[in-house]
Amino acid sequence: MKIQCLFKTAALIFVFFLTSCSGELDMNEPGLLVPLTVMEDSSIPSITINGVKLHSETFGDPQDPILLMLHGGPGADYRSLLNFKELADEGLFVVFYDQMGSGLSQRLDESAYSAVQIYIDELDGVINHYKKDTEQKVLLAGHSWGAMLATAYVNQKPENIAGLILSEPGGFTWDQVSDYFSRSLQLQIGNEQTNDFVYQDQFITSDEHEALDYKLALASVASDTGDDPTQLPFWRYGAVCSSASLELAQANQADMDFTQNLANYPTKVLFAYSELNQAYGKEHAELVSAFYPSVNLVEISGCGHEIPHFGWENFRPLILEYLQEIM
Amino acid sequence: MKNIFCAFILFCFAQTAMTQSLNWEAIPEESRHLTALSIGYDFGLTTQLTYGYQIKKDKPIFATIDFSKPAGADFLDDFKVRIGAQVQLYQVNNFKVIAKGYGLYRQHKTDFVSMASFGSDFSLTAGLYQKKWHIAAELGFDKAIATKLKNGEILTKNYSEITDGWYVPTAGNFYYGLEGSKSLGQAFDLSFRIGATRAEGKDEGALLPVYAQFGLIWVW
Repeated sequence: MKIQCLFKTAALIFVFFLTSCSGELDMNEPGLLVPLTVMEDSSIPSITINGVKLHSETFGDPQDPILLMLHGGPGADYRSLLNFKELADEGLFVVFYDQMGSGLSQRLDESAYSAVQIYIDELDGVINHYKKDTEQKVLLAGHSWGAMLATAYVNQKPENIAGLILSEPGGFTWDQVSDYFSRSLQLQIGNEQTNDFVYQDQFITSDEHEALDYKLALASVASDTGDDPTQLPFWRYGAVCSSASLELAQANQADMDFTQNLANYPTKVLFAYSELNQAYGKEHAELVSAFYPSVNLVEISGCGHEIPHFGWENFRPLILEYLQEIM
Repeated sequence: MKNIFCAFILFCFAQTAMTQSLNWEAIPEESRHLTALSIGYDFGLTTQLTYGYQIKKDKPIFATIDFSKPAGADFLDDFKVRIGAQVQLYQVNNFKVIAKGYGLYRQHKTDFVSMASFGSDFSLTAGLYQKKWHIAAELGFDKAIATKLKNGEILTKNYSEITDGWYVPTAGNFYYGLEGSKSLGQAFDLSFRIGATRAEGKDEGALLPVYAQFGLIWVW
């Protein structure tokens, strides 16, 4: 009888807590857990490319050569690349944009991610949006997935790009990318980080971008690529963009070959890898960068994968040296 | 708040449950208590301790309480407590249908956020229950009904307007699979549950959408 009372008391306590949750909130309400996008907040600077509204900012004189920044992911944003805006003082017009479905840009359904080409077309649209005339030079600086996208663009339109700064692209073929993923995304069952990553799946599920983007931000705690993931600035991850793009790449592995035409790109490429990302390293950097005929391969000391943020002090002088050489 | 009251009503009627795959046929006449230790994968590598009590000897209702926690360096940052019961709904010879229901509280803390969540877990199992073993199919739904989020400095630094508070509801996961047991003498059973999970809606679901639990049950 005492045990029955114990169970009933516990049940009542549970019900008390449930019913005492006043002022409950909705995870999917815009602005509560993740920032508003350009679709909800018209004060956010934006451009419209191929019918999609993108968060975009520029720094410097619009007449100067363009340095167009490409963030990682897919599904990350350009906040961690903002050190590059210093290059506006070096005579560059520095352009940032959050790719479709990520950062503060417009969110899209999964079906919108139909081919890698949509990212290349988007990049082409951004270049055409900011380019004043045919004489204005355009350089690309890409990080991680952004470096892969820069290469995919150069592979199709090498004549459009006057210089390339790449930091730790996973690879330029699916085999290279999956090889890198097999080292960088290792989950060790039983450790704290792995459990933090998988345990949250019972707390948050949703149909909506707001909750899914928040959940992806929480998952970044499991990142282990040589930096402290808690210190990396971001605005808002794009969960649908991230998962749909990965599924797209896995389903169309043949389309993930950005190398066929790279041998015809004559300009020297600045290719950086980090000292502390054990999953990358010099060997993988040499393998990936070998598709370009002319490469300045550099190791950035004191940081992991997030070179543009954590390795900026050591990366910046090498970029300036490179710009002097190619401009 | 409607969701909370719906859960409350369901909770009261169902009386609630247990995770252990208990073989009703194997419980000795004189036993009303059970203790079980299980390990397995349930949104993380988890260890679970269960205590159960048969409320009335002449009625097939077993009340249980269990505590589980995932592996990891921080001992009590993540855990789950469930209280509930399982009740036999239907029987033809050795074929039985069992309903299980839980009220549950779970907690999860990381550098990014602290989450405290109340929820429910209801399931049906149907299968063969013999004296020495049982095997049954299981279908259930786990709902995180109300979750309190307290975002850490990392998230507030990135987004100063992020809002702490009670979010309702926050998650739902279906699960389906098999459970079974094999008796080891009079007092002990080896048990298992194995299956898959699927998030409700369009959520792509858990990173590892499976569960597997292996336990030792002591009936006394």
